[in-house]
Amino acid sequence: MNDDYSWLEEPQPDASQPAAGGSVGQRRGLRRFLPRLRRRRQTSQPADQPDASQTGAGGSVGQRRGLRRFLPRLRRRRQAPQPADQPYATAFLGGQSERPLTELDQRLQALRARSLAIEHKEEWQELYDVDQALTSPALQEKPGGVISAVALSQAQQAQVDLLTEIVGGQADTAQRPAKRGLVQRAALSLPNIPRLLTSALLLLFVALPFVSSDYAPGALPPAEFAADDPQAVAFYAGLDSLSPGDYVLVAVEYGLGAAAELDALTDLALRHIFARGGRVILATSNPIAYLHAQNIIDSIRVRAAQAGLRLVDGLDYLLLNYLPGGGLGIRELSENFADIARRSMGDTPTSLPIDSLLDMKMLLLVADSAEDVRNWVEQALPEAGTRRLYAATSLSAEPLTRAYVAGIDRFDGLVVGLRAAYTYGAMLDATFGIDPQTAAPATDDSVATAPTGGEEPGASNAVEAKPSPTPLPTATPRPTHTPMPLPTNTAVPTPTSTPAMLRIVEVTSPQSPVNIRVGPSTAQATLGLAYKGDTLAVLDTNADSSWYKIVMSNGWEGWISAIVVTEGLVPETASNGDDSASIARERSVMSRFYPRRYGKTEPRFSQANQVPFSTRGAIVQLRERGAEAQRLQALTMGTVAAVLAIALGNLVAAIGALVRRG
Amino acid sequence: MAENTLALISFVLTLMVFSYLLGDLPLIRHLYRSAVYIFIGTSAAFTLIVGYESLLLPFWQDVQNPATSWTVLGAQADRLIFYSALLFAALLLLKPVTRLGWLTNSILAVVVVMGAAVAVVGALRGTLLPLLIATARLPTLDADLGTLLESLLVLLGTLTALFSFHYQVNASDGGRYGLGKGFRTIGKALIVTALGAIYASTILSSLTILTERIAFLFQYGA
Repeated sequence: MNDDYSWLEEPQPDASQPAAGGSVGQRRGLRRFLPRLRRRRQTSQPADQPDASQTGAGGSVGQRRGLRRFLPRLRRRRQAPQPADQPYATAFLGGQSERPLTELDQRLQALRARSLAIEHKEEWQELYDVDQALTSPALQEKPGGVISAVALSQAQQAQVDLLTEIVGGQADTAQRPAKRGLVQRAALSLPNIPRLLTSALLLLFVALPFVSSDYAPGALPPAEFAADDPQAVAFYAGLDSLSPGDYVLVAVEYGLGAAAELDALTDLALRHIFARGGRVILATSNPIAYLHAQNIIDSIRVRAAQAGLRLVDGLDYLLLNYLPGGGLGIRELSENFADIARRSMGDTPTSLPIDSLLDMKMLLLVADSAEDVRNWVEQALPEAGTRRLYAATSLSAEPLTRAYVAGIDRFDGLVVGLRAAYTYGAMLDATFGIDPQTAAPATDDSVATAPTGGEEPGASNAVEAKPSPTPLPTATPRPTHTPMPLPTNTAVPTPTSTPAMLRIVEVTSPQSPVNIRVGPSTAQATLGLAYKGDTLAVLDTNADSSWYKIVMSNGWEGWISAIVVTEGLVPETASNGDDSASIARERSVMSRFYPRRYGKTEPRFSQANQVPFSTRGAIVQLRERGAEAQRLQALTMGTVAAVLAIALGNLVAAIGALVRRG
Repeated sequence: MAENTLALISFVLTLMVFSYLLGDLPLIRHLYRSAVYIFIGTSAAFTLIVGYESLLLPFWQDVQNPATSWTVLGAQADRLIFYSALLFAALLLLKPVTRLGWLTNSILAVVVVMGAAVAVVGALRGTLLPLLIATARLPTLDADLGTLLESLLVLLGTLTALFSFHYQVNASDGGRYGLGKGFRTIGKALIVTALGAIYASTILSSLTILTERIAFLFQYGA
C-alpha cells in the first residue's frame, strides 16, 4: 500500500478536467464500471480453470455466470476459518473476499477527486461543520454525554471489541460505562414532558363534558341535515324511499379504528332499512368488519326480539361470507352474486329471490378509507346496472371520498362521522314518530312495551301513514328474472300485553335425527333434520293430524311426522327469546339442523318462527341512546384542545428558533 | 357475568393503551406493548377464524356436494379448482424456505397479476370513464353563477396542482418569475390545503375514538 498521501493536499487536476467525449456522468460510470468488471473476471477465472465463455463448452451464458459466482463462493465456504491476522475486518467476520488493499489508495483518490469536483454551495455550510459538532463536548464520553448514553448489548459490545482489536486498537473495557441499574435507566427514560402535558390537556378537555354538562361547549348538531349539505340530504332521502321488500346491499368496510364513528352509522342505516321494510344483504372484504357486521345485526335482532319483533336470518337479512382479496373479492361478488349468497346460506339454495346485484334496490357502503370506496365503485357499481350508491364514511376518509365521488354519476349520498350519526338519529326519530325530547335510552322496561306488529310486508302501519318521502330519481325497472319461489309466510297474531301461547312440537323420537320434509308424506323430499329435544313452531296440521306443518326461519315451511314429536304450548314471549339463555338455546338448536354445515351456530331455523319482519317504526326506537350528546361535546372540546396544543407547539417552536438565531 | 368480565378486560386494556402517554418508561412501556400484542394477536386469530368458517369450509362443503356447482364445468371441475387453490395456498407457506422461494413467488405473481388486471379494468370502468363523462358535462354558460364559479375553481385547482409537479426549470427566467412560477405556487398552496384537510380529518377521527374510549371509562366507572 502506498504511503504517499500528498493527493489529499491538492486536487488531482485530471480528475476535475473534463475529458474528451462523453459527459461527466458517463465517464464516472465507466471509471467505476470497468475496473469492477476487470476484477470480477479475474476473480471468477482461476488460473487452473479454463474460461467457459472462451472455450464455449456447454451451458448457456446464464448458467456459466451462475457457476462463476457459485463455485468461488462454495470454495470459500469450504476453506478453513480465516486466520486471525487476516487484514480485512469484513473478510474476517464474514468469510468473504474483499478488494485488494492495494487498490485503496486509488479508490480514495478517486473519491476525493469526485468530492472536489462537486460545486460547493453556501447553504451546505452546515454540513461542513459536522466535524466540529462531532467533537463537541456534548458527544464526549462523560456522564450525561451522548456516547455514554448509548447502550450496547453484550453481543454488540463483543463485536465492537473484536473490530477494535482487528484494526489494531485495544478493547478498553475499563472505559465502558457500567451497566445501569433500574433507577438510572428510569432516569434516562423520563416521560416526554411536552407529550405528557399535551396528552393531559387533551384528556382533561375531552373528559369535561362527561363530568358536568356545564362544561359542554357549543351547540349540538341540528336535528336535520342542513340544506347546504345535499349529499347528506340525499342519503337520508334515498334510504327513506325504500319500499317493503326492497333489497339493499350493505358493504361494511371498516376496522376497529373507525368503529367509534361507523358503528353508529351502520346501526342507524340498518334500522332505517328495516323500518322501511327493506331487506339487507351484508357483505365485506374485511374480516374484522365481518365481525362488526355480525355484532350489529345480532344486536338489532336481539333488541327486536325483546319487543316481539323477529328479524329472520336468510330472509330479512343475510350476512354474506367474507370476500377475500379486497378488490378481487368484490369483483367475485359482483359477478357471482347468487353463488356466494347460496354458499353463505349453507348447503341448501337460498330462499332469497336474488341472483345478482341487479336485484338490489341500492348499494350502501360504510367505509373508513377512500380506497374502499374506490374499490366498490370500480368493481361493483359497473355490474349493478343503474343502481345508485350511498356511502357513510369516517372523518379521516371524507376529503378524498368527497372529491372522488363528486364525478361519479350514480353516487347519490354521503354522510360522515359522529355528528352525522347524531343528526341521522334525530331525523329517524322524527320520521318514525319519536319525540326526541322524550326519547330516553332504551331499557328492558321500555322495549318490553314497545309497539309491535305482525303485518305482512307492505301492510299499513304508523310508518306507512306518514307522507311518503320525496322519491329520488328512479332507476330503471328491475330486470325480470326467475328467482326461486319464496315460500309463503303466514301471519302470526300481533303479541298483546298478555303473552300469547305458541303451539310447538318437540322432537321426542329416540331415533334422532328425524326428517323435515317438503310435504306431509315420507315420499316427499327431505328439507332438513331435527334432533331429539329440538322444538319447532307449528303452523298447521294435515287432515288427519299425522303431520305438523312447521316453518323455518329462512321462510321455508316444512312438514314433520307426528310420530316423532310431542305437541305443546309455550308462552310466546319466552320462546321469542329475550334472554341470553333462550338465544343460546336457539343457536344450539339451529346449528344441528345442518349437520354438514361445519358447526356454524347462526340460527338457520327458529323454534318460534313468525312472519318475516317488515316495516316497523319501533326498530328505530329500540336503539341505544346513550352518551351521544356527551360524546359530541367531548369531540368539540377535544378539537379545541387539539387546536390549542398545535398552536402552542408552533408558538414554542417559533420562539425557540428566534432564540437560537440570537 | 360474562358481560362484566368483558367490560373489565376492556377497561384494563384501555388503561394499558393510555399508559403510552407516560412515555418509554421501564415496566410501563410493557403495558402498552402488551395491549398492542394482544390486539394484533386477536385480530390475526379473528381473521383466521373468519377465513376458516366463512371461506374455507363453505367451499369444502360445496365441493363435497355433487348437487351444487359454482362453475359451468361441473362438480369435478369445481373439485379440481378447489384442490388446486388449496395447493397454491399451501405453497405460500413455503416462503421461509429460501430454496423454494420461487414457488411462492410464482403463486404470488399470479395473484398480483390477476389483482392488477382486475384493478385496471375496474379503474377504467369505474373511475376513468365516469370521470370523463362527468367532465364532459361541464356546465354551460347559462348555468347559475355559483355553479360556474365552482367549475372554474375546480378547473383552476386541477391545472395548477398538476403544474406544480412540473419541475423543469425555465432557461430564460430560471423558474423564479413568470406565469409558470405563479401557477406552481397556487398549485402547491392547493395541495398543502388538501393535505391539511386530510390531516385535520384524521385528527378528528382520532378524537372520535378517544371520546368513545373516555365515554367507556366513565360508563364503566359509573
